[in-house]
Amino acid sequence: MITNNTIKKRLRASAPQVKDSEAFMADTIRQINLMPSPSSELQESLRRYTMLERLAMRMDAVRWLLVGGTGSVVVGYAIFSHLEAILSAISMLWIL
Amino acid sequence: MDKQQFISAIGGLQESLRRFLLVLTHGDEELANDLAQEAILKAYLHCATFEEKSGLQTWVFRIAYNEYLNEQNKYWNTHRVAVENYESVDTEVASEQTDSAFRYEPLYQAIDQLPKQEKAVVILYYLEEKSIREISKITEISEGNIAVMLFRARKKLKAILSKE
Repeated sequence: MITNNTIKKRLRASAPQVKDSEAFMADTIRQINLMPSPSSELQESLRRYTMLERLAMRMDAVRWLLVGGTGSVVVGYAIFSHLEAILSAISMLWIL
Repeated sequence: MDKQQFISAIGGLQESLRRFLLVLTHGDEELANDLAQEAILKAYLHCATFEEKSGLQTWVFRIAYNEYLNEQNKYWNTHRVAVENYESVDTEVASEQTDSAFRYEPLYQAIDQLPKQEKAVVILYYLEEKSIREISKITEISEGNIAVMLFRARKKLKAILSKE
């Protein structure tokens, strides 16, 4: 009976031979040494620090937006609640 | 993962990677080595961000497989232009420079007839003994499709073996 293992064995028995592994590795290491270093742990920390900094800046912007928004609402409410007095003051000034 | 760790990990997997590419490229040793090296160098450039050491092999195989597909597309485009210009086309990809005995083995000949993706799946499963999950990660084909491909290929390979 032909099983999966029979196929595996047969394929492995006649598999192509990989030659010159040492030469291949030597050349690959030489190429690696010519390449720039991959991003190091320091770069990774810097990236995380920058990310946190950006997050803090965003939170700061949101805080100022909230402060500005609240301020606008308070001023708007104050103007609206004293609208009559403001208008009469303006008309008085106009007459004078 | 630092440079030394990467190099030692690659040392352990390079033979398997080159053999996989050697079968895919019909025994073209030079091309297989080029593709393997290209994949290893690409993996090296991003190895610092790669923390899952156990998955390195699957990841490098995946890069290599994509390199092979890109190479195949380039080859096809080059030769399509040649056909359009009425030039002769050398359909034999493999060179005679390598240990090409395996190409005369009926099982490998049957594998060679399979579509590109199916061929890669069969080699990874039978020759490199990867799990279906690993093959799925390497080829980006769903596990269900891989099972179907293997079922079809198994039938063909068994038929060849039973004739002998």
